[in-house]
Amino acid sequence: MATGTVIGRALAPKRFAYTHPKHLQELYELAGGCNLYGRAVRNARDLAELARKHGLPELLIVGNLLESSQELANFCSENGLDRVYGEFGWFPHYTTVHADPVGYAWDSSLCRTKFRSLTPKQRATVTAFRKEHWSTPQNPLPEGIRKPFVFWPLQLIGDRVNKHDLNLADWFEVLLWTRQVIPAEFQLVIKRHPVQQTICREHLYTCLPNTLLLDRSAPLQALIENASGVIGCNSTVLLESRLLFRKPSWAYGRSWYTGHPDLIFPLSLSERPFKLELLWHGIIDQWSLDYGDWFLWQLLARQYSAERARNDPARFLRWINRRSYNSYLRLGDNAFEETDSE
Amino acid sequence: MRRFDIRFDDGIGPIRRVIERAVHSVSERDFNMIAGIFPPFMPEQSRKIQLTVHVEYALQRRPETVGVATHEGGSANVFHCVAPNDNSEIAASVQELCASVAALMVQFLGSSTLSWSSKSCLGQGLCLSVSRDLYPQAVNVFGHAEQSWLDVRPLFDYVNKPTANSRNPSANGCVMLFLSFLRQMGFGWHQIVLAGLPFDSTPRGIYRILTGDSADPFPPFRETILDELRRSTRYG
Repeated sequence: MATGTVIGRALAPKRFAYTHPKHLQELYELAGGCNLYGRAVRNARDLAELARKHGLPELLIVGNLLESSQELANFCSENGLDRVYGEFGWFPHYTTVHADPVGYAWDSSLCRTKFRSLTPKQRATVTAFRKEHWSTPQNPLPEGIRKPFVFWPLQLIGDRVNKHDLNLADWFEVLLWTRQVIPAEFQLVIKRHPVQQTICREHLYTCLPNTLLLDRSAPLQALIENASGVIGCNSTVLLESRLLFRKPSWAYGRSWYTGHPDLIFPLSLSERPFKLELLWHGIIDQWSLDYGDWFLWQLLARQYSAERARNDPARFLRWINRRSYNSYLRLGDNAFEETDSE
Repeated sequence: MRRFDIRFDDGIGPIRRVIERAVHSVSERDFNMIAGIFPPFMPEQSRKIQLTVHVEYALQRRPETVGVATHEGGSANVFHCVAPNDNSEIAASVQELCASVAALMVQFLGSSTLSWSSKSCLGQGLCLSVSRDLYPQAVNVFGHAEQSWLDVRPLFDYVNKPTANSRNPSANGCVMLFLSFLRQMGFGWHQIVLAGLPFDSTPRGIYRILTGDSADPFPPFRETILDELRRSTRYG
């Protein structure tokens, strides 16, 4: 089995190959990793062909939701390659990367973890992180919003996660159902996605009772903070609302929270929402609060600041090495424990 | 595309052709109108209905029964009705049949919604109200519910306190008349249906969404009804 070479406390970067998207790959290469093939691997057959011509890499960096993800994993196992899955991080999305040993979103290690308790160290980490995020000055709520309201952050309809999960052609069907299952007294506030230009059947959205469609520039944090709850398909905003703002959150689709139905409540187009009473009470019980903090810690343990990776490549290499598949086989959930030293 | 596939029991007789013509012209037209009052892209809007016309049928055993027709519950697209047997009043009988089928279409098309399903007081009120709007002479279809409410004085306020289900004819009658009252105020059926989409909608909540007025609508509604009653001879 190929492993990185430890030089003193530092870890020598490996010969690697990667698939699209390449966020994690760029940082790994910057840290000295040898980009063996110079281009992205397309699928398992392509990897086999490249390996035959140029030799095997030591590490495969796999991007999100590839059709051939399982075949690539099989190839790695059969040929003794280590692997790690990665993309952008979560908080904040575009200036961090994440690494996971077993997969992306609903295939990730997060979906296999079980909440038991929150340690004092984990509590301290997430408290500091949440404080940093809450320190942002709040914008006023846009005109037309009437509390109480439920917030729906629209995603891109062509989003890869949507395509691989619900594969909806437009949002109207889920919005129509959502309007029915939310109590009449709660306004449904829909916000366009920041890069969405047009929305299919947009004129119908505003026909729904007690429903408001906001422009894409509407202030996200103010909306989450003032909402009684957040509903969506599988947007990262759901994680933000539940984990950073402790808002009850419901999701139609799968994502990182799959396997944690008491954290972000699953919704379907045929059933009434579970725990709807939280719209009035909020999340107040200690177990649910600790569960959210524990999950936030789990996310933070899997994400890394891109800037920090550029400034301290050796530390980034150690961090990513612990989050590889082989490391996870050896260490289990302890693979994510050394966040402070990294 | 024809929405209705009509089947007849043996022994229906010459009225079969009259029913066939009425359903294929009037009920087809009603379907398009009623489909348009519900939000678009609901599955029932593109489905066909199988209407079986019987010589005899145990209508009253089903909670979905309206007038001379019934269906198999929820989104089932099989309707049953009893053929008129009184040749002397054939026009009224066929109208009653079409009014009953119209009410069932509201139940069928509303079955994908939570608040307008036939099991709710709102849903039953809507199907009777639409039928009453289309066939005001078909008193046998909606009159029982109407009279159940009007018979007990003072008139009970189901506008603010609707029942949880459709088993109370008096509540259904009150809601039916209230929805007609909203129509008289100038609101379209589609506006009324959209305003009442949330599962916990009440007649008062619908009024508030439509008008923006949070005042209690029951007193003016009651006065309008009592005023109409004073001028009407329908109930003596």
